[in-house]
Amino acid sequence: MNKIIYSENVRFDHHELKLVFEKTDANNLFHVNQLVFYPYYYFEYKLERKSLFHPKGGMIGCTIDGINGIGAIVNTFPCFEKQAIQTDAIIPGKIKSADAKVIAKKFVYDTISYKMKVFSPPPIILTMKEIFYRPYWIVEGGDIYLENKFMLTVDAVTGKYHPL
Amino acid sequence: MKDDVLIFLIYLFLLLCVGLYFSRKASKSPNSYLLGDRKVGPAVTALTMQSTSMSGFMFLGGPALAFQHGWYAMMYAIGDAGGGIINLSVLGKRMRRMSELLGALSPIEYLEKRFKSAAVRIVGSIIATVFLFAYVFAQFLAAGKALESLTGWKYEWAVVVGVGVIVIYTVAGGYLAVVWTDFFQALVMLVGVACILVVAFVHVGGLSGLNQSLGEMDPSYLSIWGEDYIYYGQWGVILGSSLIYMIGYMGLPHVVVRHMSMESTKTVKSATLWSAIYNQLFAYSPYLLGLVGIVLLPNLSDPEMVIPTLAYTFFPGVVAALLLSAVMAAIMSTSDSILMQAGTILSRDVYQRFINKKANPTKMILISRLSILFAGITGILVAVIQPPKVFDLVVFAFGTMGNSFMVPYIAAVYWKKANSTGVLCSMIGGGITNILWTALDWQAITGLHPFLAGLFISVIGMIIGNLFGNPPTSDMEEIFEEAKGPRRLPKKVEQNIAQDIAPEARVISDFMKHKPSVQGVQR
Repeated sequence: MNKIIYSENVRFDHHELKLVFEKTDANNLFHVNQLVFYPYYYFEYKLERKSLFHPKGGMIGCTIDGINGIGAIVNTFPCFEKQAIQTDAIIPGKIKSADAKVIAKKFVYDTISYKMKVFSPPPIILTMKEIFYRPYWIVEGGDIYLENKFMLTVDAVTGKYHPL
Repeated sequence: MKDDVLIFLIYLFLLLCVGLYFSRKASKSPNSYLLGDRKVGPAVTALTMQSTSMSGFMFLGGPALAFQHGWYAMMYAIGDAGGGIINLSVLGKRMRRMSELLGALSPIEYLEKRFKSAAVRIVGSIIATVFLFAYVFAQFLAAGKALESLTGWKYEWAVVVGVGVIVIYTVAGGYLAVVWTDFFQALVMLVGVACILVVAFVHVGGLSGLNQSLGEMDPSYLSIWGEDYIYYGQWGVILGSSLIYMIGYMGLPHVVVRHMSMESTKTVKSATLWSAIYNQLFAYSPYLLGLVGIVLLPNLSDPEMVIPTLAYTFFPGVVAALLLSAVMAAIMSTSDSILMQAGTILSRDVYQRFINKKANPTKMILISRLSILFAGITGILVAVIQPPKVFDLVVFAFGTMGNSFMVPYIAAVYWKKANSTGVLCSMIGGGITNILWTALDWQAITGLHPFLAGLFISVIGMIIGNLFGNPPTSDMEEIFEEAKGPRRLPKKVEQNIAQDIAPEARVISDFMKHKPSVQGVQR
């Protein structure tokens, strides 16, 4: 069964990824064959007051991890695309939209205070809110004798990876 | 009533309170009663393992050995100091994982399920029951002897009171009561022995003064070859003396069960650190006090009384009694663990496995309690009726169990193709060798310590026996692989791990575990 979701586009396809890994470590074989979709919230805010860093006011965007509730400031506006994805490849979110909004606002305020070194951050107005999914590859690696297998997950947008 | 007797009674009462405190929690399920719900943290795991391993021998037999043989006895201390660390490092994580994957609640059940053989459980149960009982008798005997000399009570009453308290809190509070009283008692042991050692060193002029005095009395005390160089050139004896405690703990069911009850595999790292610190502070002290005894107590008739005599020589009665609670702590912390294990084997490996397979959890808890009570009462009776020498009995039981179980426990998690025939050969061969070597004193002829001889035969039995019998099934091989834990990544791959996506990786890992068939989208 499929579900229509907003997802970022895959920038590293499985052929490319396989080549990169096999070039990194020629002693192991890598199989890249599964994608899972991880939920995030995207919030975009408009900064009301002009500052030294944002003389025109400016915009600030952040993502909130839909499961751990961890925030991150985004440098560029993410490109979402509507896609039909099998439901069993979608990781269900745990953070509710309203909770994510509270987390995002606090996170943005804290970040502005920290980065701008001001006691009173400028007012911010929410201009966009979206739930989207980021694709992650599941990569299986191991030596040619099929012993010492290991699993990695690779961010299909940035190429960053972490062992599972 | 004398003040020092009162102190012992208060100490015993405190232990009883701990046992009763855990009695309700222990009654939840067999898992709670027998393994504390596998929720024991690092500090408690480490200290219960140490205080369980280090029995009354540390305060009675160990110092007596140093008193008789000088620095040779330090070979045992070196083994003791490294034992807990090696045990946790070698078996800790893998045994914790595998025991949970197999759903095993006792170390003997664990062997049966790992090697899929009822014969392994029968043979294992027989060896464990016989020698755990022998071990517990020796401990009860030591408890009675220590309490008798410290309080002046009649030996029989000392056994009944001292051991009675152990039996009551173990029956009531189960595994949790045992590990928490052990934790407390490990601290008592450390404080007690440290205080006596500091004052003892002041009396003999520190380590240098001690060595100088020993050298003047008999230079052979300063060698590793024993008094009058009795073991001169016998490396088999010297190495065996260290190895028996350095690796032998890995064969004791009541010690390795600590791996099964840890909160998680992450507990192992901190527990190893706790063990390392505790052992370096504690393990050498009783032996050093034995050496001090040579200098300060040259006319001592019973070498096993070195530490109590030194305590009463240095301190007033009440303080000495307080410090000598450490002797009782060492004996009791080992006794309760063995008693607990003997009861577990009787209830889980004998009653539930062969008599009533469908016993419900409530009945199993009751049977476990009755088994421990039975083991305790039997122990009291044997200790009262027939008191043999503590040292001989402990080394005999310890060595035989170590030689019977150590190789199978290691093979269970490090040798994928290990099978039940190999394990049976290893258990029986190792155990019998140790018994014969000890009983017939083949050490004198061969110059090889019984533990080392048993270890050789046990390893050879495992290898040769493994050539016969059925190989492990594929599902057991999968469990074996899983118990090895997460694989190490290739170096080049490991260098570029992005830590900032670690939270996502944890979630994805969980997701994949619960939905292994996910296919996603092919691109």
